[in-house]
Amino acid sequence: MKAMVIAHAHPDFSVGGAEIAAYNLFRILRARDEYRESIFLARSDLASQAHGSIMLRRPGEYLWRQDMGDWFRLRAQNPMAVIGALRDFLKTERPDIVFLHHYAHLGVEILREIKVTLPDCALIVTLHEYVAICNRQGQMVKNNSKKLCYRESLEDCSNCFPERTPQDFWLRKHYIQKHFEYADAFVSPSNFLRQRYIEWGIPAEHIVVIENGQPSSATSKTAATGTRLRTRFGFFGQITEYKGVEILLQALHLIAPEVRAKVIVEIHGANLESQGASFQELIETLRKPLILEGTLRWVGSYEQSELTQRMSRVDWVVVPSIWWENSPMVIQEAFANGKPVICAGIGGMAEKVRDGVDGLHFEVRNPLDLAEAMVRAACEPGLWQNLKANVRTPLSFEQCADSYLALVA
Amino acid sequence: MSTVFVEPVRRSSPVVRRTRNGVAAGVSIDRVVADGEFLAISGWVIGGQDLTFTVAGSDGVSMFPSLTFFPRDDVATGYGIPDHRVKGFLATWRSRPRGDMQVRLDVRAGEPLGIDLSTPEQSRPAELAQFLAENLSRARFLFEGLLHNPAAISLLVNHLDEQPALNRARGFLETAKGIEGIGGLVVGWTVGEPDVNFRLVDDRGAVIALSGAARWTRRDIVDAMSRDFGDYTFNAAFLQRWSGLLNMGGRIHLIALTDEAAYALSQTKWSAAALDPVSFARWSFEIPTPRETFAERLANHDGPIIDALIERKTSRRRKSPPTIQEYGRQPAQPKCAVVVPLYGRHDFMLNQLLAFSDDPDFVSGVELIYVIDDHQLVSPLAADAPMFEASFGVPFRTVWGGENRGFSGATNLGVAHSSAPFVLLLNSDVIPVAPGWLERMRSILAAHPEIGILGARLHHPNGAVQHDGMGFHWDPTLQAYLNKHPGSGLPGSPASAKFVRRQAVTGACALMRRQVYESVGGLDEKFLIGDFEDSDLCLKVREKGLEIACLPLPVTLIHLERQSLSGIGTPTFRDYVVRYNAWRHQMRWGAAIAKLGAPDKQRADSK
Repeated sequence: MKAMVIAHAHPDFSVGGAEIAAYNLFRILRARDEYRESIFLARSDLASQAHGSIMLRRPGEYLWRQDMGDWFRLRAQNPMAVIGALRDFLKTERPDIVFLHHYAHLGVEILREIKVTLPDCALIVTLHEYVAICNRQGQMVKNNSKKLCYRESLEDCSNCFPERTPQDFWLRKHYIQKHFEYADAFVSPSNFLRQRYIEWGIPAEHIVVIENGQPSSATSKTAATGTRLRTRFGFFGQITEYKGVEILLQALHLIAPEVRAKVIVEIHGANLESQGASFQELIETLRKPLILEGTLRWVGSYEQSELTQRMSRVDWVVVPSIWWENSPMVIQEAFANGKPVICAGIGGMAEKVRDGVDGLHFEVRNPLDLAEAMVRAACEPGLWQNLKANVRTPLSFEQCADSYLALVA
Repeated sequence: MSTVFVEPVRRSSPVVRRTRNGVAAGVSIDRVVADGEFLAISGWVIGGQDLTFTVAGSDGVSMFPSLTFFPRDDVATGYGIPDHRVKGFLATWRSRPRGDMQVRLDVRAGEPLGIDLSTPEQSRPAELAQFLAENLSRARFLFEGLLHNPAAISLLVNHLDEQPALNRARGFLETAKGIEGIGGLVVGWTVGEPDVNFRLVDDRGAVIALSGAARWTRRDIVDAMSRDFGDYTFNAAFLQRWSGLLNMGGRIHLIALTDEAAYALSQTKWSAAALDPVSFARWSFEIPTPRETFAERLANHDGPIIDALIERKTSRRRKSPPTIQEYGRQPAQPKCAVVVPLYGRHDFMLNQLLAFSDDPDFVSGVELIYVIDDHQLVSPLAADAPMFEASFGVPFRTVWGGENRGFSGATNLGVAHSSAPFVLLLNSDVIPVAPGWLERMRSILAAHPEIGILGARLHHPNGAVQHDGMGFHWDPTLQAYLNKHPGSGLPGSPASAKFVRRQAVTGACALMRRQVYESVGGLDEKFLIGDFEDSDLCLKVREKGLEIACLPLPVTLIHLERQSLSGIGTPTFRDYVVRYNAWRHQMRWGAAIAKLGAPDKQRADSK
């Protein structure tokens, strides 16, 4: 059997969760005898590569220069390369299975192309967020008010983008769904994401949930005993408007000084400098007194390989995102490192972290509620130990690959 | 009887008969003017009863003048007789004999008294001017007496006073726009007492009364004029069609006629109106006559001009063959032609072709024709079309006629360049969501020769019915039948494989036999922008004794028609276009539709 794993980026150049998941699936398959001929095709935007061309990266790994030409209908920038270079590549490689991770940056035409060129090939598409459903970068957050969006509809979407009519949104949905019809099955890393796609129109029986895999780690979980209070909190991830760092900082300000004195918060994250000026200003205003006070440590960015070591220094991982999320990698990483998680109680976060079992929920976008959760976490004897004891070892890369293969068995 | 020979164009010596008691009778010709057809004689009589002018031309025909009398106190004083015994006269002829002629003036005054005139010669301009100046207080008489003498009218108008005395009338010409050979529109305002008549007069002396003008009330005129004119300021603004000849740059005058006099209130020059009918309508529909009388205004004023402009445009269509591009292998013996005009955007093709690619009929057996009806789409489509064909595998052709023709013109062009025995008219924003519908429609039509047009139930994106046949409804505001979509927006009756008879169906998706399409001349290209041509087509087919039917498909064809914004807020241009087309449709089909009866009656008559 030969599988082709296609991703919208190569981890050599981009370290998003989706491409890492895709690449790990490819590595596991290739290590297995039966699938050793499997190949990896990643979309690239390298200026050195001719547009539309497919180029060897290293044995078994290829780069395809492609991009989005139309984010509204999710059309490829170079559709001739879909029926040209890609079609030729498919005909040459003739995989039995295609695992397609994501459609953004690749263009939805790729689904139809794969099945038209290779009708007998099984096409499994992994959904990584809501781009097909939501024209606002797939966030399902209202365009101007930034309110959470609970469902798409032609009229609601047109309200978010008044320059587009409901009819335009019908055309968008029709075009995307018509291409989605070519997939044999969809994989969603979370039940929440799956449900959103079902509501949008993918038949329920066509989507299964398979969580993203994590590296197997022998050191991940040591039993915790006693009732010693655990008061070190950590944030890991991008510092963007949607990750909710400002909610965490506001929560810290709301904690009574005598309690705050016992608490340490570490921020491990990059990209603050590329955010808008007002957001940078807000973070600066919030963090400055906390840093001076000694409560807050602004650690900054990290390499993926440093994560385990950095996480080992904190007791709790806080995920305060202000949007739904799908299945944030950081939650799986926290669990892999045996850390209970405090997260906003919505979407993929609420699904992955069980409130009062292996973590705590707080009301999304509510700093006061987060403050209360953090005070409870820092002050309730035995709580941390109880929650930690319930943390489940995340799915390994191997297990994840097995689940994928089970779909085509 | 004594007669006096008078030298042409000279002031004559009076002929006076005296008795012992003084002056008994007299007659005098003060002035004889002639200008082309125009002939006028002024003078006075003393003691005369009847004035008889005998005009003898070489053909012997005598022509009677229009006559008016007026006091001549100066003559009475000069002869020392009472005022009432003298009357001035002014005689005008609408036309006079060509060539040599003789005029004899006889006065019955006890004994006959008379004057003979030989052929009057063409008057010099100064003499004409002098004559008109002397008779300005009788300008209304001159004006009306000379209505059929354009040269004389024109001359008169140039001498009229500009301001009427006594505040009896005011007026102004805002603009006059026209097209040589077609006519124009004059826009302005008048205020005056009800017995003041207003006329438009051009340089050539052609006259149009403003009694039939389309009028509306201008707030600024009411504010400025009501102190002097009170309620007469309402409906001051007017729009008047000029149907005669006109020459660009020539002048047009606004004339007010009071009991006696005539006044030139305002003048303007003809300027060129847009030749393009839509551009012309964009200008003329801005002229804000009341909506409730729009149909009447169209009939009397701008409607015929727009008709003529549309006629002019369609008759000037380029005759060169269109540019046809083929993409993919075209079917050798197509069963059906599908003709889709493209205007404004072509991204609908992505969705249509993607949907067609699922339908075996479209992959082979259908002659798919996209008619480019927008010069801005030519290049983008040429760039995308090869990719569309390669991606979707649906063969198609593009036809570009070199100019925008509107829905009708584009469809007719596409049909003319297809060959299949059946023709489907399809809008680009109708997107199928299931295959097989075209063949189903075609087989029904093939089996029912009594059906002339088979439409289809179309749905809104939300699954509600968008079109399920059309019915004609009388609109009292527009005074015309409109075609309505009964049941639009609602879930609709259960889908059925049996067709239902309808009064009409939409042109967004209409299947016909080619022979029927051609026998009625296809779609009428003379509606403005595009509207009503589908019901017009249905009525033409009905006239041939064929029926109109609609197939109540399940949700298969989504029609993304944007909701019309008419009926709310300020009337838009689009709204007036509908009114124009409704008026044109009504002129042609009002009687035929009235005979059809209520659409509900038809609806019950299903098969």
